Order: sequence, then C-alpha cells, then structure tokens
Amino acid sequence: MSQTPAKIRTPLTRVIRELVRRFAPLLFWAGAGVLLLIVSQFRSLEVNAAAIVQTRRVAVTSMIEGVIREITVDEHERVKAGQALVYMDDTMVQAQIKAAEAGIAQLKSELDAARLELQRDNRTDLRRFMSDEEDAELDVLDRITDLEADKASLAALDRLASDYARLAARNVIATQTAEMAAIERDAMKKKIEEGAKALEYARERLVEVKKRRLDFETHLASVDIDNSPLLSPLRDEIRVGEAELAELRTEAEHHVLRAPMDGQIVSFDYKYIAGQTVNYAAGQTVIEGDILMEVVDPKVTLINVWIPESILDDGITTGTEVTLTSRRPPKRSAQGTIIELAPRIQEFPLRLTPYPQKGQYGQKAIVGGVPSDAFLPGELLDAHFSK
Amino acid sequence: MNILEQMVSGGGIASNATTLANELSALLLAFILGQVVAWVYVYTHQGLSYSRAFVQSIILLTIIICLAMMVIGSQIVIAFGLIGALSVIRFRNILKDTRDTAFIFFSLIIGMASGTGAFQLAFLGVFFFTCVLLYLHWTQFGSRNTSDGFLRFNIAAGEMIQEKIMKLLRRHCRRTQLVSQRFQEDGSGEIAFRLAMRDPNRSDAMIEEMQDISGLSNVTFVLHEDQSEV
Repeated sequence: MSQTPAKIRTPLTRVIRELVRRFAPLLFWAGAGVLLLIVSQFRSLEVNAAAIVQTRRVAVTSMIEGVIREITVDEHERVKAGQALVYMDDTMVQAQIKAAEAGIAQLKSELDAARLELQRDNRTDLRRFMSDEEDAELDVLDRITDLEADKASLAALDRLASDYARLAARNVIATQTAEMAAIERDAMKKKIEEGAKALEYARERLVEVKKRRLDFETHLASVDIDNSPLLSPLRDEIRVGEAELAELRTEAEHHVLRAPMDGQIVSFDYKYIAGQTVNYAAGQTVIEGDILMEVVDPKVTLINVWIPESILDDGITTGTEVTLTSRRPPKRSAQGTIIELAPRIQEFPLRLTPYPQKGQYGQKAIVGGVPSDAFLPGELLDAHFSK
Repeated sequence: MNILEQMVSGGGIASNATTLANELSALLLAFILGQVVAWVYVYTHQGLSYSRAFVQSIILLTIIICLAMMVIGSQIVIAFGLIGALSVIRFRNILKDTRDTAFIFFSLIIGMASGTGAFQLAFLGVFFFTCVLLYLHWTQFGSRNTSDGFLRFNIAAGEMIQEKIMKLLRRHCRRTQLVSQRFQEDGSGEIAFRLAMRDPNRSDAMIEEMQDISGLSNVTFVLHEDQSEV
C-alpha cells in the first residue's frame, strides 16, 4: 500500500514575501493617497504681487515771492515739526511792522490825551454845576435875610402908621403924614409879598440847580470815558492800525518756512527747468508756490500693494495677511494685513511695470500693521499672499 | 507675450507657495499617478521586452519631473540651464538603462535645487525619492517573473506518466507553467516547466522524486538566481 506523500507546506517567510509582493504596492499606494488627502488640507496658494511703501511727504512751499536769505538745513537732515528751514528776506516787511507799531503807539498816546481831556472837561462841568448851586443857595439865603429885614421894617412901619393915624385923628400931625406912613407901610407889605415870591422862586431854582448837579453827577458815574463816543474815531483808528500790524506780522511769518512735521529733508534738487535741475540756495529768488524741499516721514505705516489683474480672485479681502519682502539688500521681511481694497481696477504706477510703454492693470490694496522701521519710504517690495 | 514677460520678470504670477505641504502633496500625487501608469503598463504589456527596471523608472521619473518643475518654477533661465546640462550628459554618456537615466536626472535636479537655494525642496526630494526606491526594492514592484526555477526533463516514448508528473509538481509547486515540449518521431520528448515552488529548499527532494519516476531522464532544475533578469 503506497503512502500518500506528506503535504509540503510553504515556509512562512515565503508566504509573507509573497503577500508583500502582491499587496504591498497597493497598500503603499493607498497610504500615499491618504497622506495626500491629509497634506492637501495644508496646501496654500501664493499670490505674488509688487508693493510700494507709502511715503508721507509734505512739500515745503514758498508762500511769497522773494529772495532766500538763508537755508538752515541740509538734505537728509532730520527735523522737528515747526523747525525753521528757510528764511526769506524780510527787511521791508520788518520796516513796515516797525512803522505800524510806531503809528499805533502814537494813536494810543493821543487816545490817552483825549481821555484825560475828557475827564478834565467833566470835572469842569461838575464844578460849574456846583458853583451854580452855591449861587442859588446864597441867593436863597440873601432873600431870606432881606425878607426878614423887610418884615422887621414892616412891623416898624405898621406901628408908625398906626401911631400917625392916631395922631392924625387927633390933628397932632397932618393927615398927609399919616397917609404917607400908611403908604410906606403898604409898600413894605407889597415888597414883602414880592420878596416872598422871589424867595419861593429862588428856592425852586435852588432845587432845580441841585437836581441838575445830581443828575450830572449820576451821569458822570455812569459814563465810561473809555467808550465815550468822543473817543470812537481814535479807537477805530487804533483798531485799523492793529489789524494792519497783524497782517504785516503774518506776512513776516510767511518769510520763514517751517517744517510741517517731524521727518527728514529730501529732494533739494526738486525743480526741473528745461530738463535741468535747479538747486535752491541763499540769494535765489523764488515765487509763490515754488517747492523748495520736502519733508518725508521716515516712519512707514502703510504700504500699497498692486495685485495684477490676471491673478485676482475673491480670495483676497480685507484682513488677508501679507508677507512683504524687500527687493534690495539687506533682505528684510515683515507681516501685514490688508486694511483697504480699492473698489476698481486701475493702472499700476510706472515704477512697477517692466515695460513702461505698456501699462499693467490690477487692484490696489493698502496694507497696515507693518513695523514702522521695517522698510524705507518709497521702497519697492515683493508681496506674498497665502490663501 | 504677457506670459513671457511675466516669466522673465519673475513676478505677478500666482503659483504654489514653497511650503512643505505644497511640495509634499505634489510629490505624493506624482507617485500615486505614476504608480497607476506603471500598473497599467504591467497589465497591458505584451511581447518580450518587458523590463522591471523600466516599470520602476515610470514611477521614478514622474517624481523626478515633479521635483524638476518645482525647482524650475516659472524661471525660464533655470529651465534652459537644465536642458543644457541634460544635453551634455546625454551626449557624453550613453545610458542604456532607463533606471540609470532616472538616477542621473535626479542627481541633476538635486544639484539644481541646492544651487538655487531650494534647500527644503532638495532635502524633501532626496528623502521622498529614497523612500520610493526602498519601497520599489522591498516589494519587488514590476517583477513579473515570480517563478523560482526552470525544470527540464526527457520523457521516454510510450510512457504515460504525465499525470504522475503533474501530481508531483502540484505537490511541490504553487504554480507550474509549461514552457515548451518537443517530441521526437519515436515518441520521446523533452518538456520544460517554469515552477514556483512551495518550498525552494526542497527542490532537491523534488528532483529525486522525479528521477524515481520511470520513464524520466535528464531531469534538470535551474533556479532563477542563476539567471539574470532584464
């Protein structure tokens, strides 16, 4: 009886090797696919654009026509806001200022003299009122005295007339004498009556004069001599003079050109005439509006990024982060954020186009949040957006 | 013209950022797609010119070209430099093996990556390429010939021992493939099989058992280690 040969088993290593050969490529391939799905979540698309650092430049402009007397700064010098940069020749305006000041001083002295004279006049008028009052009082007293004297005389005449009348009745004296005494007595009565009336009138006059004095005193107390209408012409003249002086001082101030902000002086060779640069220096004549120099703020705060039209899409919005890199050495890099997007496509600045005769169009974005000392004003940069 | 200007000026074009994620995803995709192409090639290849090195080169070249594109980017100057370097190497060295070509090309690309400052890309490329190479080597990817050896024997005329032979072969082998059989006029013949043995260490035992079968002679078994595979 033949024995059934033993089954030959495949060694485990061979089995494993065979399995690996069969399935390992598929497993590796699937693993690579899974890894790709995971890694692709972290992919980013980079948009390359160009950027120009914004410069805050303020021109120092001549406000008058004149001759430069002195330029106190050099190019690239740091200046502070308000610092005097250029002095123009102000000889004439200073002379005008002095003349104006002298004129105003004279007018003021005339005003003081007029004020004093007015005060003096008022005091004179018051004395006159007081004098009238005194006269009136004296008049009253005189009349009272006279009246008393007349009354005493009347009493005497009345007694005399009575006595003469008695004597006349007795035919001691002539009747005419008694009648004369009576007539004198009556005349005295009449005189006293008239005197009383006159006294009354004098008293009324006294009251009136007193009232007039009091009124005048009241008027004086209320009168402001400084604002007296009599002094108005002089005051008006002084005001006009002061206004003219202020104008002259302003004009004198225009002869000094000051730095509008803290910064750095640039662009001395600013004016181009027939293709040649003109250097401003002392002794040179300038006209109103001539730009003598510029002050640049060395601190960079904003950067203009120009994104070409061909690569624009909705992925770039305000808040998108930007990486900015300098083109020129030393290589500097900084991060920023878009704070504003221009609403429309516009033409790029000529500096950014490799071929100036052919314009390039795109969208402008303003980037902020960049450290102020990362780049230089006006510098060209490369901008990278990751999205 | 606009594209050419942009390529020369080197700016204003949206491109993949040189981040690790971008580079790794590109290489992975190249590997995945190259693998698919290689599978299709293996499955559809007909004829005698099949080469495992060629199949592996398909995968390697997709990765190498991907790396080259990332190194060149949009810079036309580097592209022209690569063309020049390749031309010099091609005319100075005749490369018969496509795998050798792939390695030469890869060396060029790594040199260019280092020279252009793409250090991250150079490191990642070498690492990735090495991993893929080890994978291809370890899995013997592209290898079609899975047999262990080549069995040849002579059968005498009139002997009906085919069943016995097949039974023996099925016991010792996982797969058998008839390669050739030649019969003389007298009925004797020579038969050749390609075998994938269950246990290659038992090939001697198999030969002894075959020699014990009457009617068989000149039994020879040649292992594939002794042959060179193209």
